[in-house]
Amino acid sequence: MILNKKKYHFLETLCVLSFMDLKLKYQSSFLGFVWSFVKPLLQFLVYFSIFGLILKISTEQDYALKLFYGVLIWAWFSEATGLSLNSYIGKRSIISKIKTNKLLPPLAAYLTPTINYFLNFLVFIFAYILFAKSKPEVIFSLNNLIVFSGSFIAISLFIVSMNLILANLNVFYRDFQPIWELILTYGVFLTPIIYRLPIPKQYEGLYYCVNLLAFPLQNLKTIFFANQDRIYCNFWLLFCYVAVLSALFLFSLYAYRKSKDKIVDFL
Amino acid sequence: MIKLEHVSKIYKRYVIHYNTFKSFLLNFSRYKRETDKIDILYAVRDMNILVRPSEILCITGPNGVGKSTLAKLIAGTVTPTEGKIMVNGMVVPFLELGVAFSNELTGLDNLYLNGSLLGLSLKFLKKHKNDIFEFAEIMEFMDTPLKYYSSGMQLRLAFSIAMHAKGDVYVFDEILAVGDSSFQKKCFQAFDRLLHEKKTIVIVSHDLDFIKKHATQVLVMNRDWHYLIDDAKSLQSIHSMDSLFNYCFEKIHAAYKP
Repeated sequence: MILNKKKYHFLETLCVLSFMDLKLKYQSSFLGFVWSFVKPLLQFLVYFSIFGLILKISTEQDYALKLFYGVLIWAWFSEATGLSLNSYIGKRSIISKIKTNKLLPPLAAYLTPTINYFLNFLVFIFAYILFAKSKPEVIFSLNNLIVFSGSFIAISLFIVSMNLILANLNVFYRDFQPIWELILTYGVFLTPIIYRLPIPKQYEGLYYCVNLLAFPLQNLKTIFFANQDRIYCNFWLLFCYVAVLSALFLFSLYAYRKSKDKIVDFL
Repeated sequence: MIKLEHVSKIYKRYVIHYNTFKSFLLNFSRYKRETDKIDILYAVRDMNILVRPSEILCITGPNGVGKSTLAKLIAGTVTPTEGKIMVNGMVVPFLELGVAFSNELTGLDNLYLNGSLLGLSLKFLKKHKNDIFEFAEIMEFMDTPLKYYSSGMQLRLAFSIAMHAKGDVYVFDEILAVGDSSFQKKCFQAFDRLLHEKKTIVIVSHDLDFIKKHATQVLVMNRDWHYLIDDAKSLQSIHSMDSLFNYCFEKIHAAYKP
């Protein structure tokens, strides 16, 4: 009973912290809450105008919608990991003066952009209903539900793992923010968002195990668009991906446990 | 109950600058070579204390001897390098008031944020929000962003939230009252209520009269030694901090005499 009460309070505090972060983020900006929709839309327009209209890198149907969905997933990932970098340093006074669970700040950094992602997902669905031409025959099926929830869990696990690692790293090495921004700049071009990388068949496994966002993103596209590679049907690829993601998650927990008691001393 | 067994807190005096990844890589070989030679500093050394429920432990001593570190260790915000700390029940820290406050949020939002972090449930906070703002005497500023509060108003709100937290152990680091004289009176009344409710209290104080009046145990800390006076009643004949230090010093010497 005591444990349940503790867990309940942990979740409640996490929600309060995330909600207040969300409120703080949009309260002071001119466009307010609308900015959360406008930002990925602007990012999409930049990529689409350059790669879709000027360079014409893809002639496939519904390229704009696929690009928009990729941008949404990328915005979710980059925003969450970006917030996590300062989650301990920005909440220094809370961490060092109140006895709080040190998982709270990196998890709040995950939850706030996740709420944003869901709101943006509704915009995508609206645009999809209006403009999609290459819809698959069946969208609402058990198979798609499993792929959708599995991909969501995979991306969430990846973000939480990275948040735990990055939040701790940035406490000990304060220049990790520009390093991570550089990695993100490369990441957007190495993930199947703007185009699908021409990876040779023999290196596909390695690619999806190194870029842990590419596998769920590719699978999510199969739900909404016809003629997409169902890479989740490749058992060994799926197995390797789950193994690497689990290893990363376990490593992040290990790193968190090792450093959680030292964080306050280095803040 | 609070139990400290051989508790030490050690800080390292880093001389090689390596709080960036770049400097860590550049100084890696030097760091590896000199890491064992880094000077250490004992903020708290081999502390053994037992504070039973409803007892009041007063910690006193000059600046820089580790009183605040010990308060943080008991509050659980800092972990000991050596030893074990056991604290039964919910701890309410008064180490620095209003640390979770955000200037952009309203007073009410700050109440929810700060209260949740102090261990209060949202249900409790929603039920008692009027009591908390009434105690802080800022009822009409509930929906005003904190940036428009005066520093006194912010402290009163923070104190009010912490005082409404139904804790078992209260840790005060020299903060016992805030605001003007009438609000300070209210703070002391709230403190008296804690005494009446038999809460376990740890308080860092330099006020000898306060220590003599309330303490059941007194921990006197100095740079090289610390001494725990179990029976605070024996301090009634002491009238200055200097004589308190002499008293402890004599006791320590007497204990080591063959």
